[in-house]
Amino acid sequence: MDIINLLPKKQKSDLKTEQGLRLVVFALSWLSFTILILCLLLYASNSYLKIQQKSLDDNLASQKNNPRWAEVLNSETKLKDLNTSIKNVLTLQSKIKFWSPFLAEMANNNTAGISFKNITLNTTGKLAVISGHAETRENALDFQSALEKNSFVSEVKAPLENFLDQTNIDFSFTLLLK
Amino acid sequence: MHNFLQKIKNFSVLELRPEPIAISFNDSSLRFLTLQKKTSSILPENYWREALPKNTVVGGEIKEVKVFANCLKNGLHKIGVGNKKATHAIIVLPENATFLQPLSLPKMSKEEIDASLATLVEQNIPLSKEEVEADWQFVDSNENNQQTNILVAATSKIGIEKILEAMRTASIVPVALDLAPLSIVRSLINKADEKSRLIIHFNHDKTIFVLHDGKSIDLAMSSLSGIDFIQKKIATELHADPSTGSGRDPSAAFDLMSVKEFSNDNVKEKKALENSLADIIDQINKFKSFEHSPSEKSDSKKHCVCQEIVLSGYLASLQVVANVISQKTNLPVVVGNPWQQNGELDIIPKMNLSESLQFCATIGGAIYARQWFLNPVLE
Repeated sequence: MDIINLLPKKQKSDLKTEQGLRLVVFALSWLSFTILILCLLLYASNSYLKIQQKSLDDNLASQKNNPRWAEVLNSETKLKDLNTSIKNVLTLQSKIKFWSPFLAEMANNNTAGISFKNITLNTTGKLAVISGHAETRENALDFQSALEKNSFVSEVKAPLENFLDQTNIDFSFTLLLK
Repeated sequence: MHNFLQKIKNFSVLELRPEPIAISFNDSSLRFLTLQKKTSSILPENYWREALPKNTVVGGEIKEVKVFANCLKNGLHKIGVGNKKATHAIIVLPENATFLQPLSLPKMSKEEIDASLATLVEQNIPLSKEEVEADWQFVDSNENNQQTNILVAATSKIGIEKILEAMRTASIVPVALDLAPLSIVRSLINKADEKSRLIIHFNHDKTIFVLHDGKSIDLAMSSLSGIDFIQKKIATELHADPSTGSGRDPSAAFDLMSVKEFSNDNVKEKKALENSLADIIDQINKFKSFEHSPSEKSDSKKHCVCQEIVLSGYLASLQVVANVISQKTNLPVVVGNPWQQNGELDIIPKMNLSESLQFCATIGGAIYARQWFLNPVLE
């Protein structure tokens, strides 16, 4: 306020300090008041929850005294055991790879002039090695092509030795499975 | 430390800033006024006039601090704030205890004026800078103007110390020390109407003249012809004539005037009133066309021609007084409305016009209090 005020400078400065102090006290008072209200609300909620918990505890205690309580406990134990068994079965099932569809598809796409000697399947289920005999190089190439088209196979690794001879080839293919 | 603890003790948790009351005083009385809260209008809530024992205040200076403090306490009780631990107040100083001087300076900033205030005071106020308390305000805020017009106010430091001591004793915290001419103008002059006016405020012990050029105060002074003096003079004149019974009782002189007014039947009363107002009319004639010195006002404003006279104080509500002054000065005379900032209110609850006119300076102080109260706390 730019209005004449003949109050000495010291008094004006004291008044400003008082105003600042008043502002702080006012803010702190309202803050304390708000905190007090929140504390009261929390205390009331806590008391309500304690009453609720006590009521539930009492209810549980009375249930335990009931003759059917042992039956309920027995059923609960059995259910727990059953849950554990189901969990184990599911774990084992997730680890097993079902090979039959892969072998069936390979048998369906059987190429002429090819005979198998050995099929090695990796336990992780991601790798298979097939060795056998092909009458001609063309038969071996056809077989490789058939393997590449197999829906279970993502990659076929064939060593160069498989195709060095024109006839009577002992081949070996390493398959990466999907 | 004690003061600090006292301040903490005095805080009200729910009050961020207390609204100050207004207190004005002169040689004969103290006036108190509180405003109605929770309204944007300036309306009185409580008011009280506490008479001061003789010689408590002389020439605007407190002579008996303890007596003055006791009267302050009484007044606070009467307006219902006596039980408060501390009362904030705007104190309106009497006109004869202060100096008010308009000054025209080359364009200067607020900081520059602050820095040169002591010199300005020494050059323009008849007190040494060591013994004076001074402040100033801008008169117009025209950025393009090459001149800076300011109003400088000053009062004696000793007088201020006595006032502050009395306030401390009465548990009053002064928020501002205002000047009676400024307060009177604040309550009576409508800022929108830029007419130059002469305000005549009748007190018991003196009459205050405030010349206002429509924007700011041009001149403020007081004459010793207060209503006590006028009343005595009328009584003496009427007493000299045995045919007039009213002459025996000075206090009844104005009652008689107000009832009879002007007519051919009361020529003697009219003559007595004219004679008693002679000094005041002389003063008005001096102010009708007032010429400032170049240091006081810029060239364009140095000549002030009064267009209207505004009456306030004790005699203001007597039509007969307005008529005599108007007749003798050839100027329109109006009775002031101290509540003009509220618009055209004819009746103010709790306070009639006659009382309101006596409380003009206090009402001006209360307007200052409301402005201070509404000002942002952190400004």
